[in-house]
Amino acid sequence: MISSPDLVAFTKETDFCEVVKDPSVLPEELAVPLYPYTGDTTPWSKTSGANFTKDFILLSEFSEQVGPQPLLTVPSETKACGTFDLNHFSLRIMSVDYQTSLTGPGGCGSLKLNFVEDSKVVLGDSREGAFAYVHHLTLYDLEARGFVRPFCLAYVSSDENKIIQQFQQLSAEFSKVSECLKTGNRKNFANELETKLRDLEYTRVMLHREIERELNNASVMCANERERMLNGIPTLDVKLKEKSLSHKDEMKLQGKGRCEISRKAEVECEKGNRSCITYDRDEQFGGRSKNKQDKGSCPTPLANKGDELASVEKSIQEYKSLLKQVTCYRTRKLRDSEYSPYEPDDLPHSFEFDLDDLKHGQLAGPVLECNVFPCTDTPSHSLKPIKNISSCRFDKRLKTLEELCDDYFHQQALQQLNSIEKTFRGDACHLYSQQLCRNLLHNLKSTNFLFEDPCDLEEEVGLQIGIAGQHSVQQPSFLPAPSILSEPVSLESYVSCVEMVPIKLELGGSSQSPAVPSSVNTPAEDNRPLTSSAGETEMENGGVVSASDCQENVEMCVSALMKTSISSGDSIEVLGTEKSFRSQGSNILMDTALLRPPPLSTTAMLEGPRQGRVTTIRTCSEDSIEVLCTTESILPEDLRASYPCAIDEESPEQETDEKDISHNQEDKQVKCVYGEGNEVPGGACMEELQDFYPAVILTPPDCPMTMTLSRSSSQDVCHASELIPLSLLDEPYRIVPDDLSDCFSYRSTTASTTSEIFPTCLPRNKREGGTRRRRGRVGRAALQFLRQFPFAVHAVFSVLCGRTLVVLGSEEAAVRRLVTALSVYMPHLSKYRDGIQPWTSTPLQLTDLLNWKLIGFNRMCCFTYTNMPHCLGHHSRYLSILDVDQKTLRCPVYSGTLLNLLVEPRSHFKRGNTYFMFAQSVQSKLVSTAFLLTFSHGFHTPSRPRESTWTQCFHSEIHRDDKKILNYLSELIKLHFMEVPPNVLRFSYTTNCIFKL
Amino acid sequence: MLRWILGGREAQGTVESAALFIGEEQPKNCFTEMQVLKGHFDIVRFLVQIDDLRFASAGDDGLVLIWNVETGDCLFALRCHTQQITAMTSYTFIRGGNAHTALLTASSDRTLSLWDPDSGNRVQNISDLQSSVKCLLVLVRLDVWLSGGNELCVWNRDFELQCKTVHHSDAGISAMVELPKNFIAAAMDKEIVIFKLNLSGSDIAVMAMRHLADHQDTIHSLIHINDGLFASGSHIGELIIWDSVDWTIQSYEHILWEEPARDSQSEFRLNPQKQIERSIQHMSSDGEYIVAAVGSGLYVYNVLTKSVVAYRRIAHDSNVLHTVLQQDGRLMSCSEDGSVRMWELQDLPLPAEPASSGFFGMFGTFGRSSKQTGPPAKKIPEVPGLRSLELIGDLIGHSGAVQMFLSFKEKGLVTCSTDHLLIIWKDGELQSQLRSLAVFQKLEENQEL
Repeated sequence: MISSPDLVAFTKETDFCEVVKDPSVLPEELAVPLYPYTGDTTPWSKTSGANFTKDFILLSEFSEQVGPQPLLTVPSETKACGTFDLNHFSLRIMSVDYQTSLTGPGGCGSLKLNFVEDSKVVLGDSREGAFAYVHHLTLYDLEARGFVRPFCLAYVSSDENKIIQQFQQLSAEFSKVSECLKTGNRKNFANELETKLRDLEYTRVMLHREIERELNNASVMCANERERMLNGIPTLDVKLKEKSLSHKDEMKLQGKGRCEISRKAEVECEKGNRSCITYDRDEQFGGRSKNKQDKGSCPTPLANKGDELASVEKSIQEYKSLLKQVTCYRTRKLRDSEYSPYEPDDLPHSFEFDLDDLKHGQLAGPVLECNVFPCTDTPSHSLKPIKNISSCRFDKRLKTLEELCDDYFHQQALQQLNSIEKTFRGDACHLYSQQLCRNLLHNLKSTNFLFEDPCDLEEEVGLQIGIAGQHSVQQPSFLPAPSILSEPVSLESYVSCVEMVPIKLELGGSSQSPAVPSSVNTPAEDNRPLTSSAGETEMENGGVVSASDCQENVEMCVSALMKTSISSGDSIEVLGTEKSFRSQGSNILMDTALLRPPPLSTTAMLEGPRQGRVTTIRTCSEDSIEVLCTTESILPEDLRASYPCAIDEESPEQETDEKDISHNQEDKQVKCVYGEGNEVPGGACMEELQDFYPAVILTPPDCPMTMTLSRSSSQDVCHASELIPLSLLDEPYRIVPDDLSDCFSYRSTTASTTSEIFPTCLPRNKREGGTRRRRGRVGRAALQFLRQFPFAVHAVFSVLCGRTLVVLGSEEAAVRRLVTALSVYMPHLSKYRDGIQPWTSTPLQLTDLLNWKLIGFNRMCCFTYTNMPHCLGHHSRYLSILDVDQKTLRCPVYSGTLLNLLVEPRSHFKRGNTYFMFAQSVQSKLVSTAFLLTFSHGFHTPSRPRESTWTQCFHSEIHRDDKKILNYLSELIKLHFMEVPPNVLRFSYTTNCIFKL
Repeated sequence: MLRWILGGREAQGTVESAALFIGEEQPKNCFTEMQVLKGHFDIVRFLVQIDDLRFASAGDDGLVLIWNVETGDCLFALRCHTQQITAMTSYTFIRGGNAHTALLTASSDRTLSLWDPDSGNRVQNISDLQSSVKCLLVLVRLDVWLSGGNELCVWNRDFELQCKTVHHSDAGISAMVELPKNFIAAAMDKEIVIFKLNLSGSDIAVMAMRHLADHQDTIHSLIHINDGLFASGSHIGELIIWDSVDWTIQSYEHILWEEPARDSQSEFRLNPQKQIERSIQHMSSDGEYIVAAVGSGLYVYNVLTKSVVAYRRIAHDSNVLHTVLQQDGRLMSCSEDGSVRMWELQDLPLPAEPASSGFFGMFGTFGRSSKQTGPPAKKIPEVPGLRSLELIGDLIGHSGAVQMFLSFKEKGLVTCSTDHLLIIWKDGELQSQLRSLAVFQKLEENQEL
């Protein structure tokens, strides 16, 4: 029924071949277009077979009742998937059984929570044309089978390359979501366990009372048992006793009745149980107690009670063990450097607390888990005795995801999913170039302020802040957290014997006995004797769970329980896992936003992945070790050298036979994958980028080499751009030439054309979308301006050489439009000042000229009917004036060459966004030259013998006007670098000309 | 056309035009960077250099601000005076073997203050003077300083009044210069009064020695030329060079920008009612030459040869307020028209060649198409050795009268103005290089090199 999903190659052998390079040859991606144009099949005209229009995120669950079912999609189903069969797809992605350890040979020895690592795989379904990054995770549910509820998050796209390219990012983002869900879930699960434990304790006390009452002449066995029990759990027992004594009367009646009823129910249910495949522990205990009964050891009602008591106590132990496992999860995981716990940013203290507590006691984790995220909605829980058995519940309603996780975390996760959907919206190559750009920009800290949108630069921060900002909505509900932590022990709280978890006890309607403060302190060492004595008790009772199991539960939970997920050997659907991507894409990694080499560092290429919370948000899916190994064996030596840490991540614990088998299988699989030979766009150009990359990050003083390199590269660019006819530039499948080879390129324009269809930048938030629209608008205005004024280049020159340009007019809209158009060319004065005043009516002051470089000026403000307002005339030396009404421009003449490219292709661009990107790419070239100018030693100390060719070139070849532009940009860079606010007005005494339309 | 009279001797001929426009290209003007300093709330009238790096500005708001010329930072704001500052000077004295420079200010609120520019503290203060002080003079040699108002007071370093003269006329002392042998020349309305400081032990007495009443009108300017000469200029254009020792007139020039006979001349049509100003507002000297700001014109005189070197009747659109004669034969002037102009003394061209190099393109023309604005006819100067004063650059920025300027050589030029602003004009090329050096220094410090 379920057809085997396809194999999708995520790499090919040729990717790893050494590419022999001839430096004289054009950069590969320029010489050969990435998407060879063969008639009518362009990447854009290719129609995917998928019957959904855009990518979406699918959240589905493997329900124990109905099997795989889709839960929700982002964006909502109607928008996203059209006729796509979500049910079928859910079935397929959930059919990857990744949690084999659940049914592993360990069997039913003890109650173990399998903290299964999330698995991350790429699955494909070529018939549907759907490819998906699939992120499996399990949540815990006390009522669910095996306590687990398997879920999976899938990013579904029709473009497999996109999935493969973005694997790292997808993995990182989805891991965050998963961690968010799991954090909430652990919290809720712990709460659930607490409640259950309290009920069990209560039940136990009730049973004790009944036995006491019914058997006045206690048998030796029972007495011993009780004695042991009381020894075992002294504090709690005493306390509970006190409490229960206070309302003995009510309980007597209730307890009797309930116990009898429960016994009946148990017997009845036993029969049905055979067919019911559940692993509910309660039920098992019920089953076992029945087995004991069958042996006939205690056929009397008294014996029944005893058995019941024993089973209750055993289940208490088991639940305690569970609780402990859940609550110390975080503590344990923190040792793993790869683990990135979900930390709401509005709780900055939480992590410190965590580490602090770690030093003092290993049991600190639970305190945090439960208190940092306090149950805001702690239900007023009234104790009720637990029936020994549970009914088989086919009709039982499963908890919804929202119930499983806390409401807050659920909301968080949804928001994150929305954000992910927005982030990865759009074309793959566009995303890719965006990431590339952003990464490059982050490296160019000294110059990136000039032409970039501030939001572009702050984006990465913004992502985290954005998520944090969502927290702040809910923050008030979290504020009580510290107060609970530091809260003096109140009368109502006591510490459960398992953990130092303050639990509110509310005995329904009863008067409350004053708690003894000393009972609160249950240090860690108290736990040990308790556990062991409990173990003994169970041993004597002939319990199924052995003491050693208990010990294991307690001690081995650090390592054994945290067993990683084991990728099933036969899961041929696994197309790629995280680590394989990490190593395979090691050179691609340079462009990912996660890795940021420091600016001006030559060693950036050699540094491995960063350690640290922010940058390593990669989760460690250890099941992919095998793939990693195989992939690495294919890696060239240099790549391996640059990623030594990728090899060291194997842990010996995972060396099992089963793994070896899977290893072999995956090995084959990987080979298979390589054989497929599917092209990965970007792989080739990354090789190229690597070559040029050092030029970007070279320290300036090394300029002789740098400059020749970059000079040649920029020459290449120019060359390339000449090779490609400009008339082709607006064809949708063409690549604007100066993309990757320009090592200083700020903005790749690869996706410029697609940007009309897809967002130009990753829309992290609404502002981003606005940015895109704004760019389109600005670009259109610029094109219009270029077409309207044949002398536009001179105005552009004024803007680019720092001469204030006044757009003079009487009609505000027209003036504003021109200001918008010219803002394309405006270098920012500093990071937070853009120097544009779109419309003003107040006479210009001298200081305005320092602050504003582009001014829309109201002609009507001065009430003079002369040609020019007085204030403009006074400062005319420092101003270029574009008169909208008379269509004149008064400014210095530009006769250089650098700007020609910027204004020339005006007839070829049709779309504003395209032109905007193009302009930025040209400007980035200017900036790179200015960068060299700024940081070249030889230029500023001409006495040096080794004057670089570039410097000579600057002196001799560059036109005077071009020098002005470069000098101005260079001054801005200098001021930015020195962190001096640009408070000087630089000007020159040049002749102005008047151009008339 | 225009006639000018020198000491009654009539000289025909002119080498200048009335209207003066400099073109947009100023290759000799190195000031290509400006920094605007805001801080004052009223007219800024005084600039005093403290050392190579710092200067103080003061004006009608009573504020004294101390600035760093390199960075443009305001180091201190000295607030104490409640009314406008009327005089300010620097006061260098030796204390503990080290030379200290302090700042001496006088205000209309009849207070005198001594400031420490290093800490911004007021070191000394004298209030409730009988009259406000209009000028200050520090006699470094005697380690005393004098204040001139309605009376002349002599103070020592500790702000103790040593002696003072009797009450003078309402006009009071407007300027003072130090003469040899402990004599002081003070300008009081139309007279120059010579005072003598008698030093007998620690006591100092001051007495008026002589009244020189050769000026016909109020004396606006009194300057020291060199050890043997000082000069005074009056409201009606009288320029008198005095001998410092025997106080005799060495030279008398009456600068009279005479109206041309033909009033229909185009240049005066624009403002026919305006009287030609010939008041000598300011003079400066380098020991050999004197430059006098006469109305809106400039007048350069050689005291050694006792002859006029160059002149320009209309150097600015309005009254010239301050002039400086620089070492390299250049001079600067600032005016009420809000501009600072730089001039160069150039030899006149050969008679065959019309002197047109001073005229540049007008605003709003294509290229340099129109260079000629003034009357083309240039008469050959009759005075031998007469040179022309050519405009080589102007600094436009202030929107009000430029009151004063202060040159820090290559570090820049500071101007202060009625528009409450100060502007530091700098050599853009030099500053760019300095910034580059700073960048590399920072790189080195950050170990990024």
